[in-house]
Amino acid sequence: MADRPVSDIELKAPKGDWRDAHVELRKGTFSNASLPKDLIALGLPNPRKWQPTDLDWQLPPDWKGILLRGMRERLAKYRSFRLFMDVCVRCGACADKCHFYLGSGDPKNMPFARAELIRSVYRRYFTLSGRLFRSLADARDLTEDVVKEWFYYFYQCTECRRCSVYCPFGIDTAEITIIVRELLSLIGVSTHWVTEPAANCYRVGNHLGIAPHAFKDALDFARDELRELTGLDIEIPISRKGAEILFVMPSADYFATPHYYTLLGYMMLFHEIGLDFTVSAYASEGGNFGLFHSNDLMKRLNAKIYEEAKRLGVRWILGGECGHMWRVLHQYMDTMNGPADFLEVPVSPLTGTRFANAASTKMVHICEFTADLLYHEKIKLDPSRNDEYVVTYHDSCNPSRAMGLLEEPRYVLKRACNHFHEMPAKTIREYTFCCGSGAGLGNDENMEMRLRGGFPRAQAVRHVREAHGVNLLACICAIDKATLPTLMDYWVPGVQVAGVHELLGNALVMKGAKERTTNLRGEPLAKETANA
Amino acid sequence: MATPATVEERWLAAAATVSGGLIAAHTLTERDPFRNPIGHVLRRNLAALVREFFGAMDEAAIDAAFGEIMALRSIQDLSVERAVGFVFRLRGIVREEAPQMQPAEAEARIDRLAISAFTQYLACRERLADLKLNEQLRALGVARRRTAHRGGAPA
Ligand code: SF4
Ligand code: SF4
Repeated sequence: MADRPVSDIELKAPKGDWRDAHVELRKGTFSNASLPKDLIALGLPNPRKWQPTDLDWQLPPDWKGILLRGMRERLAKYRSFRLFMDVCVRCGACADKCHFYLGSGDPKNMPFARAELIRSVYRRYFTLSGRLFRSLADARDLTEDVVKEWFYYFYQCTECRRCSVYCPFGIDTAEITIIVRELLSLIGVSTHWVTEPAANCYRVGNHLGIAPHAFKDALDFARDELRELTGLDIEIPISRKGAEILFVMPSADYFATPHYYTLLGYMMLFHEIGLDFTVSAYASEGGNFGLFHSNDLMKRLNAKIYEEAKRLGVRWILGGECGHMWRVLHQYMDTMNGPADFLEVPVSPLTGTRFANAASTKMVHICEFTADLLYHEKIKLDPSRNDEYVVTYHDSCNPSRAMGLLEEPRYVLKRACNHFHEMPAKTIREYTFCCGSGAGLGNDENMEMRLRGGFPRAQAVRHVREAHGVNLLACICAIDKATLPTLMDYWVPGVQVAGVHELLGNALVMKGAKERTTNLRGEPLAKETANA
Repeated sequence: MATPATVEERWLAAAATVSGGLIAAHTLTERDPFRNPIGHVLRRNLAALVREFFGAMDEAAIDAAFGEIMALRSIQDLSVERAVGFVFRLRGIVREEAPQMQPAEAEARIDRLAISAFTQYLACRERLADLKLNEQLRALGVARRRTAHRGGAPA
């Protein structure tokens, strides 16, 4: 401790007026603008070439009217939006809960301050006190600077909902972000990283625009690799009518690593239990970047899941490891594109377990399905095959906070691995820290902002690395698998990232398979290395 | 009587208050590492640096501490000058808090710290390019794996 008062520790608030909307758009801290071709493909307004650093954003002439009418409509349509505009008491409970505030120190990243950016406009145009007293009521005029500020800060919110866990009123800033992004999209302000995958998905069925023959190619390659690994011919049926189950996964599972090893894990599992399933070349994307743009786009992209289930005549749907995909499936799909009354309440063909929690959506998460298999001892595991890993688990925001999927992935991991350690309690489960790259932020040009946003998560990983020698961060989200390796390389070098079903696949003992000498990545198993 | 702890507190205050946009109060007072990760990293590493400053000036320890501080500051909204400049705030602090130290010796040590800080800052900026490249390679991971599998370029 210091032995005398220290005069130069200044405990003061930052300078400047929070109402000043001007933002400094520094390279590395924002996402590029949407390209006209994608807006045209999606039928969205105001397609043009522009960038956020342009002085003139080429907004439509009546941009202000469009935004205010858009707000009015949404205030009438979404009770939650109206409520969230009115009820915040600025108690500050959420202030230090946002990873972007914690990693950047920027006060406008405090969740209530972020919401205040639109609340102040709401007060100005939609409340009597704001109309009469403006600044006394903390009301702000809607200006072009405010539009730019919204763009900057609402694309700095990953819609993770951590703040809502702490808010005594349950204010969900993520919902506010969704509405603001939707408003911005009305005047053609959106990001390339969101609208390009959405346009690809709309036209071809998946984010990268992988055509059906290339989809088949990727799965054939997986089959080849699985044959080498196990000695078994593991077929991956595509668009097979009459299968019992439609399996939907994020497209990254078949084009990116480390996602792909998770795909291998799923397929080994399905083969081992003899599951009657099919994947689909049409519903070849579980992910839904529409969620990061607008409710309407989310609904349009989601429609293919039920449509394909109907066309193929399956009984129910099983979904792979993904985060935002599950937010959409679990929270919105039934209302948007249901009811799925042509499907049955999912029942595991192996255990007879009826997934009553999926009675309305008819869609089960792979971790629930696998945990149930393990609980009923339907599969055999050799966790020693994962002995090179000291594992911790990152609760991806959407499965944990939007679905309450907390125990099942842990149950699978603890059976599949001998060495597992939790990160500190306030950084996992419903309190989990976001990866900092979700909700369409996970692009190249936004790297510095992502590293700020992911810093709190990385600190918690670092904690278990130092305490227990953790070298593997498991997760069940495609965006996590794409971006956590980057986060780890920067903040906690030496920690790899893997899906839960990759580790399951490593450990899975398969009937008739040859002896395993490598893991799914083709690396020698720990015991092989020890014997060498 | 000056203590390294006094120097550490004052230096931490200097580092926190020059950080653009940082709310210094939170950074300085909140001790929970998961409610104040920036403050935690600053505090931990500045303590190590002050120990070295009054001790052996071990190069590896200094580089490691600045490595962590600069990983943070190089991605904040700070110019290089502001990211690294807080090191020189040590001059005044040491002059007041450790008058027993020879000014020339103090200067030489601060210079060595500043060089390490600057080197680590640059290293962090360079790492950003690698991160982007590796992320793109992973995004094409399956295609690369296939190429390698069929005897093409390495995965
Ligand atoms: S916790 Fe809720 S009520 Fe309190 S400041 Fe945050 S949003 Fe407002
Ligand atoms: S939803 Fe997440 S990113 Fe958005 S303000 Fe809340 S804590 Fe921050």
